[in-house]
Amino acid sequence: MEVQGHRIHYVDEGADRGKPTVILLHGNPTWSFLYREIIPRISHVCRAVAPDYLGFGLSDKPRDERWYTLQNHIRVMTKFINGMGLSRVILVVQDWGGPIGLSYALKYPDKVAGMLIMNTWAWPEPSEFHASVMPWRMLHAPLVGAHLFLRKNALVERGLYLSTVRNRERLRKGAVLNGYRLPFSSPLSRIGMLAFTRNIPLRPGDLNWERMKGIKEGLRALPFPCRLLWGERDIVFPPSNAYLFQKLIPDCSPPSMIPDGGHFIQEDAPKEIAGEILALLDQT
Amino acid sequence: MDKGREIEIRIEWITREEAGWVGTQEERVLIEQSLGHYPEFNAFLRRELERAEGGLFFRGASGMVYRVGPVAEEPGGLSGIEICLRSAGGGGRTISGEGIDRDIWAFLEWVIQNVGGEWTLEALQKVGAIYRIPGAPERV
Repeated sequence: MEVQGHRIHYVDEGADRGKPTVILLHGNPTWSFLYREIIPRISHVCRAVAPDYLGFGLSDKPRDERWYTLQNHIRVMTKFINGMGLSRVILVVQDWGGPIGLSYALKYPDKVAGMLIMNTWAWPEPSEFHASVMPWRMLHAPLVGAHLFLRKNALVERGLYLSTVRNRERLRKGAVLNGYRLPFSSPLSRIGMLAFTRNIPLRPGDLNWERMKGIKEGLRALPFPCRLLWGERDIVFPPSNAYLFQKLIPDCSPPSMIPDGGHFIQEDAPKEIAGEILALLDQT
Repeated sequence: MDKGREIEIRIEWITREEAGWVGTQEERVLIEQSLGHYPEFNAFLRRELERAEGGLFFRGASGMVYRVGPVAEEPGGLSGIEICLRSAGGGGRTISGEGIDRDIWAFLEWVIQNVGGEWTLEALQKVGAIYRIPGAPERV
């Protein structure tokens, strides 16, 4: 699909069987490949669509880092979802999929039948991990970030492995890691990854502080059911994030914790995620 | 300019003339488009480039020669920095990717050491070790 002159790639499996279409949103540094073990487990009962953000996967990759703002990602994904012509959707979100998917849900609450929220955040206050110089802020500091992200592809080469638990060995080498590497073969193809890290607000006045504050305030008004599934060993977004979501969202089930799950919960617990999506489909 | 006094010197600062840069073909090996999100980096690099009248030149441990310069200016500061390698030309040596990585790493150590404050060499080296970046220590 073309949005604002850019081509968006997406996986589209299953058929409309009267159920809401499930939209699966990835984070950083991943792409729709992240959902490869989940889509086949749900597409027999619903249509499942997994887009790649601009700068990720097989979608176009603008070369100017300034393009990659949360606002632009939200704008493009909103146009993408609306462009699909879907009347009802279920949003499945993790990492940056949280702020992007929740922004859509806040703008079009009547189109959303439910959400599965996993290992993400939706408020301006940074996690302890994001506030720390070592490793996070150093990782994307000026010049350091350009070297580690653009030249060395550090988030794919090591970050995926370090942030996965149950199935981490397949992120160390082999076909799965190669799948994540595939669309990020050159330094210029990795600008979106670096830019995402620089979009995380740390203090009032930072880019996206007010936007994230608005998302947090909107959680209390979400009119649809939400479910929470969490990799308990995520050091980026710890389990306390899940309990905060539960507290803030009116119709939200208690979090299902995956004890041997990390940040990239889709790698650690695809079967459990599919189960949560099917349960959400039953609820709608 | 405090170039590497507290760490093992692995880059040698040289002049444009010593670099033999006039008319030299170059290849960009690193571009940083956004210096703005941590202003202390912008301030330090801007100051150094002003002192050096627009370009810093160094020879890395690999023997390769680099130019560090601005890619664009914006009101209030630099918007970007590039590191370019002096191209060896048709008869020159084969460019080593790992050699470039190690030279860039040494340059980053110099930057972090001089930006200072919360940006410590130890933190950089730990990050380099965790992410297994060439030139970084294996353990810190």
